[in-house]
Amino acid sequence: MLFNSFSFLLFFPLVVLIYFLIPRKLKYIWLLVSSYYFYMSWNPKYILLIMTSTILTWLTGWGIAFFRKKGGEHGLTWQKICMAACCIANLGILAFFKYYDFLLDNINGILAKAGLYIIEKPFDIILPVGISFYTFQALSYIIDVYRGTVDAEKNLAKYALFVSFFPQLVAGPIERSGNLLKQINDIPNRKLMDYNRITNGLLYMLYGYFLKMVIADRISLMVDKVFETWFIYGTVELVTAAVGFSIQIYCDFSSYSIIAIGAAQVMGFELMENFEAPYFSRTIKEFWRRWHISLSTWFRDYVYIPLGGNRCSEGRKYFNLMVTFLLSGLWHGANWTFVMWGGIHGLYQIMGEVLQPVKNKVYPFIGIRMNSISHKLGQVLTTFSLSSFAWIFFRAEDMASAIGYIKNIFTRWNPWAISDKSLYNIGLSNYEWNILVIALGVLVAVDVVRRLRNKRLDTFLNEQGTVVKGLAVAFMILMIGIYGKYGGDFDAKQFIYFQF
Amino acid sequence: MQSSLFISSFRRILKRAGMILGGIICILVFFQEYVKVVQYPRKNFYDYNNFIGSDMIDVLCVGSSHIYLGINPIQMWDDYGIAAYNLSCSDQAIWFSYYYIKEALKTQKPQVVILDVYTLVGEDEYYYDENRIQANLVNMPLSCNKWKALKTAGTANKVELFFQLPIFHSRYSELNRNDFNINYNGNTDFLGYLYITDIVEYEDEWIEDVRNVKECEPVSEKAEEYLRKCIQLCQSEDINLVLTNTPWPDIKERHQRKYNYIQKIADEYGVPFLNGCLYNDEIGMNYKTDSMGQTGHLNHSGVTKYTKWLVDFLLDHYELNDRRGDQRYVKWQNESDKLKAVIQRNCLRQVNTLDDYFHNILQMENLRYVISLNGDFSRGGG
Repeated sequence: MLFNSFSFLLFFPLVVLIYFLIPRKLKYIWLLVSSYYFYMSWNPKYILLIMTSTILTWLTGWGIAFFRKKGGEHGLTWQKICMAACCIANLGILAFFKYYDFLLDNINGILAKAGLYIIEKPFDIILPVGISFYTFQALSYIIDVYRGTVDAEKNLAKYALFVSFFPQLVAGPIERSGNLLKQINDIPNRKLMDYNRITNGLLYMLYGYFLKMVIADRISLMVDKVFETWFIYGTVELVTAAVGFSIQIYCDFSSYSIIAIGAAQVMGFELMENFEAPYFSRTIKEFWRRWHISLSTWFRDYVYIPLGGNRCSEGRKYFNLMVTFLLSGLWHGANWTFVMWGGIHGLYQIMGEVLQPVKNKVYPFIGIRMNSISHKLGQVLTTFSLSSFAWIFFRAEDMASAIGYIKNIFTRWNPWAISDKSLYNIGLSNYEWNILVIALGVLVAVDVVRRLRNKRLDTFLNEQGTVVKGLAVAFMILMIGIYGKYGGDFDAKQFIYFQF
Repeated sequence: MQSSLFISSFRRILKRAGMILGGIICILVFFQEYVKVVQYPRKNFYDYNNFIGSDMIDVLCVGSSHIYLGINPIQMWDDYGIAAYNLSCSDQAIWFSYYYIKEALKTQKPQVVILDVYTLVGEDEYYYDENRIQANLVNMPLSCNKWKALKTAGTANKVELFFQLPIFHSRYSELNRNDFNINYNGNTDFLGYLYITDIVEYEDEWIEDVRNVKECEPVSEKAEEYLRKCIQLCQSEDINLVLTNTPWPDIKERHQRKYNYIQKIADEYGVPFLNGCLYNDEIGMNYKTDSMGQTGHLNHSGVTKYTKWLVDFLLDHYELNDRRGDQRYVKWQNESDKLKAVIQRNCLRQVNTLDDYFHNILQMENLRYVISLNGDFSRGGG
């Protein structure tokens, strides 16, 4: 069930209504049933996977708690064994469903080069929706229990709800037990009917739909066309599509998080923010503090820091950074293009660190004022360009396409594509471009408020008064209703991040 | 103190509820108006809903293209003053026809319903095609009948088709002046008739004579179920139902076997079934001049002959009112005048010489002519 499907428009109000009406003690059960139904609407069989992971991690949590209570050297060893076994099992499921084909293809590639027989694929695997997200959420729980930062959850249903909470089940934000599980336990004490909270949540959801249906699904028409037949285009189209994809993936992915956060907020849950105007970052390091925050912090807490973080030698720190980003790339997809994308971001970060002392000396020497607006804008543009470049690998079908795409950017200079208007015939008409520009204006305005005032759209609009808020709501509804991509012959695009 | 707190809290809730409700109503009204602009094509129920007042239709014709390219309600009006209307759509499965009749009966009380059964001889799967479902049902007004029709159609896009906006909203970039003319001023497509004069000649040897086919072959279970429902509905509403099969030259023996089966069902209920394909001689149908091809649709010439034959039957069996002169039916007369003008224009286009042109003009009544010449006539030349 996609957030932008009519099923969800029926499902969500029904779930919320019943959630508000039933006794407090039953609320978490209702949410669990709803979440499982939500997940089963994709593929009922895969509910078994999520249940397996849930029961496994829940039992392991208990095991760790038991051995901790027992104490001693022996107990510590068993805690470690429990934690390691649980991580291996969860990662094993993830690896099997997500990376089996990738692994087999690579082995076959090597076998073919060595002139040996390739291994036939014994069965087809369909990637379960959201497996990367809920597996990471389960892993964070078990590691936190092992570290002693959270207690093992006693109630299986509550823990199951933590893993499968429907707003963020299939595409995040990846929550921590310290936040979400705590709120689930606190349901009986929470205020249910809060007008401002509910309307703000709905408003935030509306903005998410605006990003997805008006911007992401519109710009994708142009992006898909260029990326599918990149070899016939020149610099102008290729650069436009690369920038377009940067916007598409941001609007697509952040819209999912925004709808998830808004939906949870309507029911009284606070999920962590996942995006904070990332394209206004001045460095790649800052970009990763603002992009997919729940995943970045996950890798920071459970990979980067355990590897040694930055409290080690420079060389080791760079190694840790690179490993973290390569793994992050691999998490996004079973393809070398994703690994490359992660590697490029790792390299950006290392280069940023290495070049910092040089910049500190060169900039004053050539007269660049570090605090000037022009310098800051330049940094923002540079960061955006660097991330857009990396996105080419993320979006390309394979490495050869990505390299060919980049090569054509530098070798097929065709500025006439702007003057002869051929650029405006790729997937989008002039009219569509106009709508897109207006919608992007809204996006930029919202992100400027986010960047400069650190305020979410709903908070900002509340400060502006009822009239402005009403107009903003009406504008978004009309834009979605008239210019949104939905309905009939329109094949509702899957949210990009579902495949990860 | 407590009561004033309660009153202020009550006022706050009332204000908020009022604002939300007001906002929702404004948005719904806007989108309702927007749908009127973007709705396309403006056919069948769109036309019907905007054109027909309550309790106006005496003969309601329902079915597939064999209705709108088979029966001419304007001819019925011109010749006999019968207030007929074609509520039809291409490839209309019988289950759609059933809901069309049900929906129409909400506002009409026709004396006769003509139901064309051409589509009953096809396979059910053919009518499960999403485009056919959309064409047939998207213009139906929001109602229980529409929802049931969508469920029966087996479409995955029930909600989209039900609310229309999801289907039509993306027409925003192709709207023109005509789309914004939502103040309906009585323009219809000739009471649901499609005027086409093209001729596709059928050689005699291409046409199968099905008159001697006596065997029966059942139609699909679903088709039979809904045919029976149509009959029962009309009978329960005390409406005369006439089943028809508009003549079509491509009919084969296998089709006729199914029409024989339909004949049996019709006999079971005592309902007349006018299978036009068996009466080509009586109708005077000549497929060298009376068909426009496309699997055997009739052209205007064929329609005229068939309509005449059909009306003769209706007048022989039912007492239909002559509505000519009744001010409530001025729209029917307007449609008739419009079609006449189109036919006249068509006649003028078909002549090749100026003499014939003026000859034709002089034959026509109630017309004002403006002759425009193109050239330099300053010296009296031309």
